[in-house]
Amino acid sequence: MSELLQPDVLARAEALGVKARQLVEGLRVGDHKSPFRGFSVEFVQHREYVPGDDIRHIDWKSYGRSERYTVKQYEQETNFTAHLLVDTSNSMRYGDGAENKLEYAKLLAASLAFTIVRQRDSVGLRTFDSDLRDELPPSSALPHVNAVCRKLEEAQAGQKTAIAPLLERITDQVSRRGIVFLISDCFDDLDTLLNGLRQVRFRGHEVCLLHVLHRDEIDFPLDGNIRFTNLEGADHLLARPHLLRPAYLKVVKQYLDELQRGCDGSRVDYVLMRTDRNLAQGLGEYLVRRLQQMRK
Amino acid sequence: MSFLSPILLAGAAAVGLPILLHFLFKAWYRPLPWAAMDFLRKAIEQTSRRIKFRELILLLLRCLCLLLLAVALARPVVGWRALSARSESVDAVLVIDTSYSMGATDGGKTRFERAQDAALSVIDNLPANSTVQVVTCSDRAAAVPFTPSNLDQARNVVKGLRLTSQAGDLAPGLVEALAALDRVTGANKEVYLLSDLQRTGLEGAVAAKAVELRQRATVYPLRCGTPPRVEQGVVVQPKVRNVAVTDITFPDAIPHSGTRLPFTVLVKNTGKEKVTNVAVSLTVDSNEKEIIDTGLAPEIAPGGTFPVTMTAALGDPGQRLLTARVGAAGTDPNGRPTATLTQPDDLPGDNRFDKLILVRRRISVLVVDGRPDPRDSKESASHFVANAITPVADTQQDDYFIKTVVVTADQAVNAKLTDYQIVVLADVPADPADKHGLPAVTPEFAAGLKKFVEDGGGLIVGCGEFVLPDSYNRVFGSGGVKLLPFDLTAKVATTPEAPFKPAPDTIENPSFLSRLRNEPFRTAVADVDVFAVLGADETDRGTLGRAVLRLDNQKPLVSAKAVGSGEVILVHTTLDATWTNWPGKTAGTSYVAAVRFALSHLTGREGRGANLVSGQQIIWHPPEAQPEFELLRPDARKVSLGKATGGAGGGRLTLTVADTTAAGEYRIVYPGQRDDDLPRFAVVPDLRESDNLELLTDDEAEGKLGVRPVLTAGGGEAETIGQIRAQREWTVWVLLALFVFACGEAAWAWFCGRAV
Repeated sequence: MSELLQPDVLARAEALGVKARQLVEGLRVGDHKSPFRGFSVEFVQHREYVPGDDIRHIDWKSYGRSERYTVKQYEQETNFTAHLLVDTSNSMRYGDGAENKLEYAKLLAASLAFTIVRQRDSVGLRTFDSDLRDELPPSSALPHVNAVCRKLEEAQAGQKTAIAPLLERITDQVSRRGIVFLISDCFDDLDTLLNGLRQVRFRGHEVCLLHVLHRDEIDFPLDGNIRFTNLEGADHLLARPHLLRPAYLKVVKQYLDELQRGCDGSRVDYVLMRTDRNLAQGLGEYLVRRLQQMRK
Repeated sequence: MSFLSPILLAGAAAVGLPILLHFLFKAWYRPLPWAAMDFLRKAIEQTSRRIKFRELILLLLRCLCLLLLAVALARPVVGWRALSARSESVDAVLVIDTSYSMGATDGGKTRFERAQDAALSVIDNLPANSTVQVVTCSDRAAAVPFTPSNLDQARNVVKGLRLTSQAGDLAPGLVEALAALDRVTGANKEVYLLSDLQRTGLEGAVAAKAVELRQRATVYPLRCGTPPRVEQGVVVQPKVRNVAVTDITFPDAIPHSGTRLPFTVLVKNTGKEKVTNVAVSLTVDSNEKEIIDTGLAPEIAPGGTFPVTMTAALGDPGQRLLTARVGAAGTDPNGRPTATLTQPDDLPGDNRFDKLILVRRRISVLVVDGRPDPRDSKESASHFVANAITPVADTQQDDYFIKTVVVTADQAVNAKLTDYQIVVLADVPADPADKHGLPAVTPEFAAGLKKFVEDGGGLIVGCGEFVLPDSYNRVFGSGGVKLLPFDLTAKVATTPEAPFKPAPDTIENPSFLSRLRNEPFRTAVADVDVFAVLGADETDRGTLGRAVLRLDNQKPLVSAKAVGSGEVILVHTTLDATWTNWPGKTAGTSYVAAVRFALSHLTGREGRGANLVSGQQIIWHPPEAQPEFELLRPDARKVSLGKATGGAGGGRLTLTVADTTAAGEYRIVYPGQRDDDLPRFAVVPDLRESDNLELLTDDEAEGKLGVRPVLTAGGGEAETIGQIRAQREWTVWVLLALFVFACGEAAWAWFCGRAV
């Protein structure tokens, strides 16, 4: 079993499950509502017969009562395809050990993949930095989880972050509506990022942005004289962080607020994942929230 | 501001340290790979300007702290100007008032003794390695020469100082103190003014010089004596009783041997209370054991002068020194008042007055008559003046001490002028062409007259019809021997009904005619009729002539001019009754008196150069240059004068004595012997000093000197000066400022250390 699959995380995620909140287009019968209507077990509505409709679907009982030709419609349930987009840019290298952003993202992606496959839905994986680095087509077979884990384990931080091109690619390549999980630190141009997310949403995908940040990047608890070298470039900055902290926190808060507002505006799920926080807890809270939103 | 330890000011260079660190020091920065560079960059952009501004203020505060530390270590003081390598030592200049008002007794001691005590106290309390210079100051100032660093010598100098008979004026002392300050290079310069702060001594340039002095040194005025009190806005001066002998006069007398001569000793009460029973004694030639006469002033009001009249037989002819002293009155066994030498007042410096007079056996006067009348001598031009000169009966002429020889102009040419003391020209033509048939003076006689006057003789010139201005100006005036006080101008005449009148108020004061200003002569003189005078060209100020008496039309009636050692008196009208009724006036005693005053004045000139006021130079022209001279001072000290200077190119040899600080008799003698033929000089106190004994109040003195005086009573002045000196050191205040700034720096650093 891969190290990326941690029992406590998987147990909690599996218990909650990943339900599609909107209509998804699957290839087989599953737990999730399909946009297609037809014969199934769950009646949805009557509609006026129009020429061309199969006369087998005419509700004769209704004709007997109203002398109108009506057709019965049933809701189709199908499975969904989740697309895991994992940021493997250089900025994801920040953090040590379990708090390393990339490692955290990998863990998160693996956990999601396992949970989704376990509920017989399909999951695909794409890793990217400034370009698409690796790709694993969607599958709902259980061994596929291992393939996903292997891919994740092989993933190495590469170049600068560029999310928007990847999102454009997704919208072009994936025609069936599914769920897109974007796991990234989002150190990219905010407008471009939000624009890309909007495009994905426009194609009918449910989008969930799992924003992975290290606590240093959020709370900025650094001290002393520090030479900040850019993980995604050759430049550096000399600073005394304690003098900058309020200004930095203000900038971060402003950025997060804008990102949150942008996601809300596009009906994109935004989840801030702090790497110092237990993954099982963080993921669990998110899945609970999804369930609550579905019930509403 | 200056510094006690200026070398430590070099520590101010440490100010550069934080500046260098600020701009040059590269701090070590811990490297940290960082992802959120955009956030960081934006945060830096927002805060960098504020941080730099705060750091600049922090830098300034740190620099200021270091600067203040350096200043505090250098021990700043105010009032001490120059910089020196030495630290706390003081270069002191003691300016000690030696005017004779300092001799006033004040609380058991004289003010001068208090000044000496205070000076010694100041010397004793000077910090180590200090120097002292001593400047004595009256109306002249001098630095006492000795090694400034030798304080023992300074103490001896102070103990050995003597009062002078000069008036006080602090201005020369301050000038000399400035010069003394130039001679030292120390950091801490202090000037101590030890004086009674008499009002007359702090006038003139004192305030300006005090300002200059304060810019270069710390000034401590030390008041020696009781200060005036201010009671309900009224200044109450300390009581100082003082009577002064102001003069010995014999106004209408000509000192001559063989007779008793009347003298008047003028005694003035310069104190604020009346004095009674002031006795005056008169001695001759400093023989104190043989008092010639005594007199008594029963009561003298404050500011009043009492003339005590005495007589003295002067004995043999020659120079005689008259000495008048005041003392407390006593009585002899016969009940007659006598003068003792007991001091009658608080200020002894002006209780003695010396006067040298020339006692003659006989006075010879040559009267040159330009208009003789053998038939009626009363019509001669010389008649009235000759009779006024010898106002005795013909039978007594031979015994009278004035011998008059009347000659005509042609006879005068052959006269030996050295046999006479006075020559009178009565309406004498200056040129034979002026009056045909009458003799006139010759140019040789005019030249002889000039030498006669220059050697000390007196010349009286009377005008008249025979005196033609052009001729007189050419012979005796600016065109000739320059004996006339003014060149003569045309005759100014009036009618008998509207005569010119002499104006007694125009009489020069003091002058030999001063007594004519007062009764009984004043009314008589004002009643004289003058019908004609020869005018005077008063536009030429170079002649040194002066009008002694003027008419009511402002024309000079009598003028005078000093020529060499002698003097010329010009009467612009006739000496007889031709142009004026002055000689023939019923009350013509004023004419006789005027002639007597003129004779007394002209014969007294010879002794006039020998009577000096303390501080004036003695100038003597010895006949030969060979011997070296010595000066015998009143205190019996002998001072070598060396040889006389000058004499080259026909000039006169001159011997000058500048040091006449003490009143009394000065004699110039050959070394080792006393030669009575050598000149004597009488030096009297400068009476300006005791004329106004008012002292300045502390407020007034502070206004003049810029510093409040310290009272030298009970030796507390050293403690007071020590306190003032301590107050002038600003180290504590600078340290306090340093503490405040250091706290400010710490607070600001804390504030800056907080997140921006």
